[in-house]
Amino acid sequence: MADPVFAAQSMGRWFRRIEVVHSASIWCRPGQVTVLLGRNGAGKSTLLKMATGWLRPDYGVVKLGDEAWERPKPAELGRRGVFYLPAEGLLSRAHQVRPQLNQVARSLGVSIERVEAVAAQLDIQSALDRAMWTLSGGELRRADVAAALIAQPRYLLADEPLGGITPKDRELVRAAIRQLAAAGAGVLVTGHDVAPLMDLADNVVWMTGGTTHDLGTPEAARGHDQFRREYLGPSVF
Amino acid sequence: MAWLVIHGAVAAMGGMAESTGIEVDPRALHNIIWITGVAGLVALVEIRRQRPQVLLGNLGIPWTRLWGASLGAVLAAEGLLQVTLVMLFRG
Repeated sequence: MADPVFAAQSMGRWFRRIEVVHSASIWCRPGQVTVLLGRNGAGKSTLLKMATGWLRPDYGVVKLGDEAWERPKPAELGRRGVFYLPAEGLLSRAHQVRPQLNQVARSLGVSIERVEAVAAQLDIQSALDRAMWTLSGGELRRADVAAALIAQPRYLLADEPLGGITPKDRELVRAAIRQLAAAGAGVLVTGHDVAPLMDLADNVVWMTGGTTHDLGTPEAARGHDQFRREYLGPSVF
Repeated sequence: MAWLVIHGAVAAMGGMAESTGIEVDPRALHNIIWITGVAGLVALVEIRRQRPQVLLGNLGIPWTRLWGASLGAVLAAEGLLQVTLVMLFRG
């Protein structure tokens, strides 16, 4: 039987008197990549944090199959295969990469050989045994993505996984995300690199004014007048 | 509030020390509690900085459990250090 859809529905959050997210919904459909686009400050990261239990929503519900949570706990979702990649980084900057990736593998009963294989796939073998503070932004981001690949989650919610990395390395990360989805995982990614993200997407969600709009396929999104006018701009496609 | 707690602890420790016949300079006791308290706080901040809490959550490990264990370990170490220093500085 196929995995159910992981969804955060009608989520809302107030910060003081401002409702930064209202009635916003996102989902991870098994085998698909959903791309969440929106301007800086649109509420994308806040929505992902609420969906994964790292920020308490004022309203809304997170659903996975027959289960539903108004206030999900990250570890509960983690045990069900939900993996969150925050924009500010996943791995501790106080330790080397290899011990942390080995820990991920051991905790989930994955072979340690997979750490080497994933490191080779993302071209970070030379970074495995260096202090984290010596790594470039791109290496740090790929090390975070490596942790997700090793974990082989059922659902991956990645906040700006392509942020701050070179076009060549971006292709490695895109291929890894596509591979996860091809293996059956439901993936949701955010970011600002519109063209590479649209190429990756099966489904596009636009977040504006604190709420979400399901635009459908990338082709349908490109044909959406308001999305083109207010987000893509005239020179993108 | 923190000041009240610290000075309450000083008074309690001074009282306990006196009741057991151990004489401790109150100023030394005050310094011991301040120094170990700050060291404990630094240790907790460092633990929080070093532990990748999101990664642990992704692995299904509740951060609160580890945080509670860390807090307990730091408080126990702090208490042990305080007792050792009190014994060193006793009159």
